[in-house]
Amino acid sequence: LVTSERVTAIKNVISKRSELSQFVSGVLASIPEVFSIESVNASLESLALSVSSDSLSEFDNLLSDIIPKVGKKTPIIKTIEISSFTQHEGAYTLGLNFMTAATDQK
Amino acid sequence: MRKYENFYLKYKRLLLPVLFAALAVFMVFFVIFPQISSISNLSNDISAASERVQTLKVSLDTIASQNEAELDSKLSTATDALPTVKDISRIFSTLNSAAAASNTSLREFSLEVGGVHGKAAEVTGDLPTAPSMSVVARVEGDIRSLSEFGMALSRKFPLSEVSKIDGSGDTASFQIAFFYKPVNMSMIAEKDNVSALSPADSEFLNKINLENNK
Repeated sequence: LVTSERVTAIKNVISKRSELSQFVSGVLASIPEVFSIESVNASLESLALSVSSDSLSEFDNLLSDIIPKVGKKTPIIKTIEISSFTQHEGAYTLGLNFMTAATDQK
Repeated sequence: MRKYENFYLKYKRLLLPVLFAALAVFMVFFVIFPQISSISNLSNDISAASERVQTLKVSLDTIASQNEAELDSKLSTATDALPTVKDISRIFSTLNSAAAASNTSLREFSLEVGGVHGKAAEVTGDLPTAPSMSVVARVEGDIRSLSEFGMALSRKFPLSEVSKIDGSGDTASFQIAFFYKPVNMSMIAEKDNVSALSPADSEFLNKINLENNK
């Protein structure tokens, strides 16, 4: 009886818990190695990512191809915004905001 | 007065039968009927009791047919996944194990234990969701590996949920909720019907145990 009650509770926890790590890991895995990841700030509502590289063409590829693909294959992502794009000492830094479905529920 | 006397004399011979008839009616309504009703209630009680005995017999057979070692192992897996108490040492060990699995290192962690005694510590087992203990862990490593730390954590026991990740450079802090659930013995004691763990549930426990040991 105890085991059965516990199994029900475990299933309940697993079905209700958020998969934030999986979401972050999926997004980071899609960023090519040529980019250096400067910072990651993730919560259930959004993921703010800052990546840098010294190649502008890589940014073109990232924004026109990779990021839209990430948005398509990750249903939890509702919108993706560019929060900043700066250039400092020859390197470019891009700030991205991935807003999730949880943002709408708030 | 004469009128009553005449009436009495006229119906004198009927007095006794009427008295007996009234007594019989009284007996039927106030003695026999309640007895019949109580017999019916008693029979219902007997039927419920025999049903309960039958259930207990089935439960006893189920218990007797179980492999004790296997049962202990399943219970151990279930309580490892969802401990019955706030187990700080197990949480520390899980954090270290997840760090090792993701090639990162655990720098520090802090726990928000909450109530440990008295009303604040009272958590009943019949909550719809399992309560959790909040932990903040600071982990060091390559930022791409840091996200793997959270993935490793989600596979490990006790069950946890990462609700926030803040990382820059080579460190990241994770806000994690570790779940636990006290056993509600009173609720379990009320149940007579003991059934064996379904094959699907056994398979589920094996699966999460395998994930934990990865």
